[in-house]
Amino acid sequence: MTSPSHSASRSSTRFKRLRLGVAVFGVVVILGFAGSSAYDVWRSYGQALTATNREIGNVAHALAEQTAWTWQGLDLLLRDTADWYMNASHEIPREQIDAALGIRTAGVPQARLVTIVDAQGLQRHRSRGHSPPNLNVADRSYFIAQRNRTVTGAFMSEPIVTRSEDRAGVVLSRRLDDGKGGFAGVVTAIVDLDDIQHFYRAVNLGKGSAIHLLRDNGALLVRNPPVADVSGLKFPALAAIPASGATRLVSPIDGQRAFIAVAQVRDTPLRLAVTREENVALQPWRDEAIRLGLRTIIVTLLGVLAIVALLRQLRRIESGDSALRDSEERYALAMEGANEGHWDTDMVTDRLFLSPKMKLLQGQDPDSEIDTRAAWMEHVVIHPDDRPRFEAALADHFEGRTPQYECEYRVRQPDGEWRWLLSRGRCLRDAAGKPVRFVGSAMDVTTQKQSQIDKEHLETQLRQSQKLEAIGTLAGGIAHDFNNILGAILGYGELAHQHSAKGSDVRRYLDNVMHAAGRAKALVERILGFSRSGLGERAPVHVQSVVEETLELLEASLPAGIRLESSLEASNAAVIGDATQLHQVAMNLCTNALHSMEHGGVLSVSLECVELRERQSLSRGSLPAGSYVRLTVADTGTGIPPAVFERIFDPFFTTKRVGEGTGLGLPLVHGIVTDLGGAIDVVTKTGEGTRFEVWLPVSGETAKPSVEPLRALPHGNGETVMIVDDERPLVALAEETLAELGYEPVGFDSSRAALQAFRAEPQRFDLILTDEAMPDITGSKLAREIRQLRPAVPIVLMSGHGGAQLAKQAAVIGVNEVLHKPLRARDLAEALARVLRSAQ
Amino acid sequence: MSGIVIYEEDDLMCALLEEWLRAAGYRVHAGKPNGGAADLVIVSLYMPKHAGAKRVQEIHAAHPGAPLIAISGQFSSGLPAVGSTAQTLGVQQVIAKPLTRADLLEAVHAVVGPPG
Repeated sequence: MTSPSHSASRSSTRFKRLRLGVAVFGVVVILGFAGSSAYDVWRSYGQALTATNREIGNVAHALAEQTAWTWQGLDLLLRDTADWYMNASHEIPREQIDAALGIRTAGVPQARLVTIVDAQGLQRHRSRGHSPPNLNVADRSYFIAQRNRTVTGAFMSEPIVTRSEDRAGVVLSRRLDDGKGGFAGVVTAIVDLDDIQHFYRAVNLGKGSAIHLLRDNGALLVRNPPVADVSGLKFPALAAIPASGATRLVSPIDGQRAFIAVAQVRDTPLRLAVTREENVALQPWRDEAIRLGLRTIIVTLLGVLAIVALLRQLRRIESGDSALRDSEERYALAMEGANEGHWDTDMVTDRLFLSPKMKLLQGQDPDSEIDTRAAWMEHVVIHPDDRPRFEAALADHFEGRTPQYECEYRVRQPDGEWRWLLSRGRCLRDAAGKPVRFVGSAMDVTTQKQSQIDKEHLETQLRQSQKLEAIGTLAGGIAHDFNNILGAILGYGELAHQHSAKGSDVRRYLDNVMHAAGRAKALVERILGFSRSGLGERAPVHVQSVVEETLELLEASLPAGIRLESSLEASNAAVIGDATQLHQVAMNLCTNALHSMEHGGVLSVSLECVELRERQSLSRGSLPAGSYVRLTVADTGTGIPPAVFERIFDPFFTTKRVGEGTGLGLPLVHGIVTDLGGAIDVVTKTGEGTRFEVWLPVSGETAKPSVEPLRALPHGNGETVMIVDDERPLVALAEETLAELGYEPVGFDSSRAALQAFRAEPQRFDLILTDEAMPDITGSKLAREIRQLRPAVPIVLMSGHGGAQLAKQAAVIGVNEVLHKPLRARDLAEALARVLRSAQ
Repeated sequence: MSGIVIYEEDDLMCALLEEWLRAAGYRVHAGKPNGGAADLVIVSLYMPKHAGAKRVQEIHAAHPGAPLIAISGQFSSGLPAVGSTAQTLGVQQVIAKPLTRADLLEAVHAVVGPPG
């Protein structure tokens, strides 16, 4: 999973780049726009120039052309008039020449006045008005030029104030010939400059424009708008401008910068100049430029604002994004810290979100794809025992019975282990109350659950052990009192017995009293032996030998169909305790195992040393770390049903029929094992068998004990003992043992034969030692028969299956003692000694 | 010869023990014991596992220097007279009840020798 900070820096780089990109883009766009606007302005400037120039150029040319036509017209008029005057005027009386002139010139309004001037310069005729009598124009240039023939054709004067009308104008003149090549005068046409002015005024060129009519030498003839005094003004600069193209200059007339277009009036010394003030010409452009500029600025501003806003938005997004990431990080860390997984199910579409932690908890790969409820069902394995509860919890919540969903269940992990999950959640409902979304979290509570289970287990064990303790204390108290009572009975009985006469009735009665008391003692011993208040010996015991001995005895009397397998590997390990008690433990477990295999099976006994590295909890008790020896007794019998399992160590609890078992074996085992600082583990499966494991703390090693010397046991004095057992090997064993104990054994492997022998010599035997389970005549039957023959003979009954039934029977018969097989030498020796002693 | 002191709460047992010992020739203190010199102290222990050692200490305190024989109905019958149990309790011999005359006399003989 990428670390939050890593993705954060990646994202902030991305954002920086984005911002930069936006800014750059914005600047580029704005610059582009501004640039295009600037280009537009520049282009429109050019266009304005072009337009102005074209316009004034056209006007100049048009006017020049118009002036040329006028000039031509005037020239034609002059020529024509000259012709007429020189040729045709003879026929007209002098007084009518003016009128005729007038008529001739009527069609040429450009000529304001046409005059005829004689060779002396006197104005003779005119088209309008009357010539003043002495109007002499001989000094005028137009007269002199023609007279002196400095020009051919028409001559144009400079602007003058005509004497004819006292108005500003320009005079055109043509020579009049007298037919002989001599100067006869001139014919003039006066062009009134004001007329031209009027005409120009009519041409509306707009503000700031001016039309100039100039002579080649720069003399200004007409200007519109007019200047104050035109005569005498010369603008050679203006005249010098070439006739092609337009230029700009500072007008010498009014000092303004202006565009100027000049056109030569063809065939004349005239030039036409049209000017337009720069300001005026460029004003539209300026306006346009300003408009464009304004627009550009506005748009640029808007653009900048937009960019800024966008950048700010980006920044906000980034911070929002980082805030979101922070929030996500916080959430992820919170979930991480809480060690919880998280799920979110859309119940409408069945889509499922599982956080990686959740997947882990459920035993999936955190990167796996589980995004629907169906996939979840497939992949997540819930413990079958927990499934019903799980489904019920879900149903309860969805159907509204519980406000919150909460459930503990086991989930299988990839390694096969089951882990407990505590899952909590809530569903969101729509308006109708139907669940549409289900969210929640889960955490691993295996340790807590385990602790809880352990705790409950320990509490049960504690209760159990408290119960046992209580019973034990009770039993101990009873044993104490009982043994005192028995002690008194046996003690005084013995004394009385001593003082009674041999063979007397009293002696016989006392015998019976002793018997009874003896049985009572054995009974107390057996019943209350389990109570843990009894004190046993504490010495290092070679545990392996004890178990070996037990197995030897077992092997001797193994029922048919049972196979014994053993594996003893404790070597010289020593357990601090009582060998007798250890023997009882082993023996009890084995006889229990045999009882559960009525129809045959395998009895496995194993003994090994085990190191516990840490505290271990067993089904009965827990063990601290340390070295232990473990005795395992397993059978392939019926197993212990669950209902009974809890109570197997309860004192007096037995599943056997009345008379078959006292239910004291396991409590005794439990008591001894606990006393020695060990513990028991029980595993059972109905129909398959049971396994008991007894753990005892090892304390060093001890040498294998030499077989307990029989010397240590109570010996006999050569008493003759009849041994009856249908199993030959057992008879032989007993004979050997008794012989070593100082008795005189006589063995029979047939009860019938034994009875016969007894009948033959009733007094021969001092004691009868007989097995119970024999074909034909059982031990008890044999005892009864023998008793009838000799009431006082001591009889000891051996049985592999003890029980109240047998004891009762034995009591009725008058058997002295009932011994439990398998017998140890010690048991035998002591029993015999006891019985014989009490018989005295 | 200060004799044998017996701590036994059960009156019948107590009488029995006295009878046995006297018959064998030993001198036995009569009545409730209350400290002092003794050749031997026979003490009956109730709950020897839990309270035995304490009781034995009390007796030692009451009869300093005297050997002890502990008897109890809560000793298992196969208990050896001299062994770890006796050692743990701090007594010379242990006998389980019900005990026979022979058991008792044997133990007393082992500790203080013959009577007289």
